[in-house]
Amino acid sequence: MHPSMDEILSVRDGEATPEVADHVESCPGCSAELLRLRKVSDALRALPAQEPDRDLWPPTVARIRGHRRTFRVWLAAAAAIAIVTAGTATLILRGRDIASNVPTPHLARTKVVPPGLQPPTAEPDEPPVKDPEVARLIRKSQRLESLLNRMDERPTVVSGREALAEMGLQERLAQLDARLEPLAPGRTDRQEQVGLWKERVELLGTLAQVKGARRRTVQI
Amino acid sequence: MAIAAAEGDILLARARRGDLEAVENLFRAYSGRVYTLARRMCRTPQDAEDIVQETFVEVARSIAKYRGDGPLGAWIHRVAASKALMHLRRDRPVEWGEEFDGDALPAPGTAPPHERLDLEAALSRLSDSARAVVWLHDAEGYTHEEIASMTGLTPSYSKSKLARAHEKLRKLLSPREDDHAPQHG
Repeated sequence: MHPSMDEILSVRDGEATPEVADHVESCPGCSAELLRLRKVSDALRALPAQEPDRDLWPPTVARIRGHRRTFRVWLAAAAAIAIVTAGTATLILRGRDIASNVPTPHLARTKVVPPGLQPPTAEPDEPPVKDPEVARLIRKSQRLESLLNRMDERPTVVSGREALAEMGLQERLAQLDARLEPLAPGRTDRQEQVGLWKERVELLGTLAQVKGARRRTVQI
Repeated sequence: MAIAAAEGDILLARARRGDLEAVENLFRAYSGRVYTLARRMCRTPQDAEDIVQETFVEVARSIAKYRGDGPLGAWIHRVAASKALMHLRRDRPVEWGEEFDGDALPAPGTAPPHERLDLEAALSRLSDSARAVVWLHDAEGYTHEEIASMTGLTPSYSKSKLARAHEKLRKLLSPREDDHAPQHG
């Protein structure tokens, strides 16, 4: 019985048992397969380097700057929530039930959609923008919005820490959406717009992963 | 473009303080390799560009966490590999299931199934998950344990994916010879 492909790969990688290694060494067919696998990995490593068509630093630095701005806003929001939460706990400890009068964090999703775009649907519509890269990013953003909408239809148990993390992501999304408003002051240039849309997609993806991981944990 | 050790220490200190010029120097030194990794793992140049940008946004954000227990380039490369894997899993989550054994759809104008393909064309025919594991393990030298840790899956998953990917590559690279190949496990 010849070894399996992953056993021959383990011989190639120096991780095989002596029995498997001995068989491969002594079997012409398996030795030929081992040689072929070595040639394939050599050929993979010899494939040429790839280069982008343009300098990627400008859009990268735009995204870094965007992150830094929204992170400062998120910190301020998180600090405000922490103060409110601490204040509520203190008041409860004093025996006064005024929680209903204190604003509490909630998980309402940011529903802000920049004007001029179709609302998110299960099948993303063609966004009315001319730049192909921006259009592609908008479609991706819409797909993620649809996924998050479906996730939100099923309630799950949430810890305070998770609620705070999700709130932070929502706040950052809200700030991004404000910058993506076509009529907002200081209208963004194309590169910054691409950077902001990419950041939106990344945030939505992170939010989907957080919600998805929590749902899997609850199911277990 | 390599960065000399002493210059690297200065750059690192400046990058940790949020100096964007220092981050740009790191970008110029390492983005080429990051782009190649991303382009080989992803389907399109646009996705690869996204990953380069996401990588260096993360580098700028997390540079303080780099403890110097390995080369800086290797740390940046690992950030890139993680970003690429997250991107692929986000785009096609079903391909990362243990049971998935499908192929990528062939790009328009590519050779029909019975024709021999070159290595790059054959790689593009693999599913995202198979191509990612092949590239990370065979070309970039990541171990199955490292791939497992980056994907949140198991080393045995990575080994199994690699084995199935090589079976597919054998068929794509030498379809007629594969008919006569010894049957392995």
